[in-house]
Amino acid sequence: MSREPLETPDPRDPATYKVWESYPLRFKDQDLMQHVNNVVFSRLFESSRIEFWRRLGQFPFPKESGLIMVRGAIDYLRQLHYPDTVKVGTRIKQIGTSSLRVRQALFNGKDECCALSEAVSAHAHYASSKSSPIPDKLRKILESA
Amino acid sequence: MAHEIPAHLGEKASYKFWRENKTRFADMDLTTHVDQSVYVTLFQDARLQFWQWAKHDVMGPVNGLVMVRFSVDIVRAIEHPTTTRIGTRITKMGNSSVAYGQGMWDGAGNFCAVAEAVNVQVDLKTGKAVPWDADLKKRLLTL
Repeated sequence: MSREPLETPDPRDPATYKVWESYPLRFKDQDLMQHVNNVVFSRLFESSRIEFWRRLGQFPFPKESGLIMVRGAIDYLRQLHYPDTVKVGTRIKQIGTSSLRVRQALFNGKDECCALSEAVSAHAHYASSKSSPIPDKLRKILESA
Repeated sequence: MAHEIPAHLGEKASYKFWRENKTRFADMDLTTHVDQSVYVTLFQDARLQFWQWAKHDVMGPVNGLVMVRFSVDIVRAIEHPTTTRIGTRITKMGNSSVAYGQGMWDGAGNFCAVAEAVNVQVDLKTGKAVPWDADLKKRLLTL
């Protein structure tokens, strides 16, 4: 089963990211296969997205309405091994009426792309879970990121 | 019941080896502090890196280290995000055991926790304790 073709610009290209976070791996990140467990990739992407929102002044998240994650996908391209320090690049891929796609790539210490992530969020009222258009103020912030 | 934390473990100058690690969003618990279980993970990671720095392989293939005692005293909550710094050193070596002292500081320089751990060197096939090589022991005690 082959992977779906990647979009342009190539998300494996580090030059397509302006915002970076780096994390030293931990011994406990490994599993019995003696490589970094797949769940750890998800946490590293998550932590990097939160720091991305923090830089945009959007974290802590608003209390009544905001972006709720509705889909997360990770393509694992290469194994990660301990010890190493990884770098995660994060950028906005697409802004819809009420949805947002965030693209991320994780690189090992040799600058090899090891995984790609796409996280889709919808702007919604938290209590009712009803989606609503991304407010203009937030849209401008997202467009400037 | 108060456990007295050895004061020397809270002295930065007593450590030659330092390991930095960055907190992650998933490290937080519902109090929004870094969860106590993460302290254990960070101290463990620092001990493994200490051995790499000491140029001694503790992962086999013949002998390895097993944990026989570990304690952590939490002095202050760690707020995410931050970069923790852990100092690690050997405090005592027995016939086949090694005891460590560790101190952890947050990114603002606040003293946050102390850990004490004891490992025993064992034959990985038989599980029996293996005495330290005299020269290796001498070298490790200088670190």
